[in-house]
Amino acid sequence: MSTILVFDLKGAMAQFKKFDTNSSSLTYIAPPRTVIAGLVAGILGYEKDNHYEVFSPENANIAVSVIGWPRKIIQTINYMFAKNKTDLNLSKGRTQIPVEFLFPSLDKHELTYRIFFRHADPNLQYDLKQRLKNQSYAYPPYLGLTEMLGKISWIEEATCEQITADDPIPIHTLSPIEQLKENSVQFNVHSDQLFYQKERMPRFFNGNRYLQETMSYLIERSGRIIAQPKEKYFQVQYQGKTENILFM
Amino acid sequence: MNNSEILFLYDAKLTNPNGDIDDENRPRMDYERSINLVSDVRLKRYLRDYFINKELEVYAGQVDGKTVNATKRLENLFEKYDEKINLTKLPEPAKQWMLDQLIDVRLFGATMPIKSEGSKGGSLTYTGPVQFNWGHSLNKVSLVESSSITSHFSSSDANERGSIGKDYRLYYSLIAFHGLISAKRAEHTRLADQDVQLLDEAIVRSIPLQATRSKVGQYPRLYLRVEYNNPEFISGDLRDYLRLEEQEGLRSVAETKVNIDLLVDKLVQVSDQIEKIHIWHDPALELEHKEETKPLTELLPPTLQEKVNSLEGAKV
Repeated sequence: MSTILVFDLKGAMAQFKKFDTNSSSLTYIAPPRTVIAGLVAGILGYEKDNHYEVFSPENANIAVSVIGWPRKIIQTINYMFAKNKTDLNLSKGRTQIPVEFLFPSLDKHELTYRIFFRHADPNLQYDLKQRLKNQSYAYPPYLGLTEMLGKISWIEEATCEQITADDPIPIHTLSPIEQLKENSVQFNVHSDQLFYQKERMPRFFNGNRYLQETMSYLIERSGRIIAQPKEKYFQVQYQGKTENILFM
Repeated sequence: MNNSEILFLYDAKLTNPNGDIDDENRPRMDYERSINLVSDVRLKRYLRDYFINKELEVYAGQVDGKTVNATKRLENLFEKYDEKINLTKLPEPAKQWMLDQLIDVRLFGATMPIKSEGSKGGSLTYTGPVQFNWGHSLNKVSLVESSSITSHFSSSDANERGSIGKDYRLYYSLIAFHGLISAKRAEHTRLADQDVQLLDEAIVRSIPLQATRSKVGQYPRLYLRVEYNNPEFISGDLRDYLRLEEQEGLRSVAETKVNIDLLVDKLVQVSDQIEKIHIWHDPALELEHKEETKPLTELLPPTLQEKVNSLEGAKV
């Protein structure tokens, strides 16, 4: 049995730019693994472009739940027009870019993402835990863009256990499709909100900040799906409940 | 430097706080909630214009009334520097000197076409220590129904008469912004304490100065900068702790009150972490705490009052 840090990332608005959109900035429904790794790196005080190896999938296990399905609103933003870096002082004037933002669902006043994080280096994990508990962040947390200021609610350091599934189980996090057994997703036909979404997101960067790998995830509007993981999954116990998670 | 968190309220009466250019310049809206939105870019532009009016050096702007590209802009700037420098190999002291000249970069960051000693790549990126989230109205807003205007100017020379256009305005929007000053990012851009004081001043003063046709009728109502006593603590969005008494059908600031019971509780809860609370409050916006309505400073419990730095003085 090992432990995993559980905390919430919250904010009034978010923008997690899809890597395959350009002149319109569309957003994922949840932070990709790269964003969460960057968030943790910032909290710990790593400098930009200096932490990709530390948070590679071999070293860091990351999972995320969407709590409350966000709404998407497009606003056109007056950005600087820049074809290259010498234009970045407004010298070419402005350009209008449609940007899609996430807003909380109508019954909530903030967006909430539950993050599960553990690291091969116990010292790093301990340091992060202390910082999250004390609201002490080297660089401030945000949701995708620096202006989408965020807040972190510490939950607890939970126990987690690796388990093999013989049947479909509820999975409470974004589920990598390649980790699900084929034809094992159980549709809840009685749901009035049956809505599945597939998101193809960046997984991690190499040392030069180039995208190394993408991954496709399945998510349902209720925040969980029922399916059978191909291999082992993790069971996390916290706040008196048990949740099943798959790492991104 | 310490971290600070900012709560800024201003209001907009019969005006358009921030139009969406792709939506006929209608005010930005979360229509499902009837909440008015204002981008961080809009707020920062008020501030940048204020600095330009004060004739401070800014990076994103014109030089002597002329628009030049960023390389030229920096070459221009370095004419004032004692030594000859090479922008493709900028030494550390020159970099520091450059930051000390440019108020907008120290506050809001920039990307510059400079290759500096010891850095990778062909550009220098500074993340702004000062960040604002998007502002949103605390009240539910409604659009002024009549939105057509006539103009003396015609759409082409062949037309003898002027044209008819659209001019969307809101009756009343009480807008709240959340901002943050990151001490750690401030190290990178050499943001200094006097820059933060200038920021305080600009936030409180800049909006009424921007009295163009679409931006007239906007006034600051409350500015609170909670300065923590260390460079790492952050409490979170202070707007969450405001409760607006009357939320619908508002036409002016006189028709509502902001209850700050939760805000005071929050500030008391984190008071060990607070160094100072910088306050500017226009009494036209009534604040209520424990059923009393007074200027903000007087509403705070004594332990917090000790930490107040009033910005009512001569400078602001």
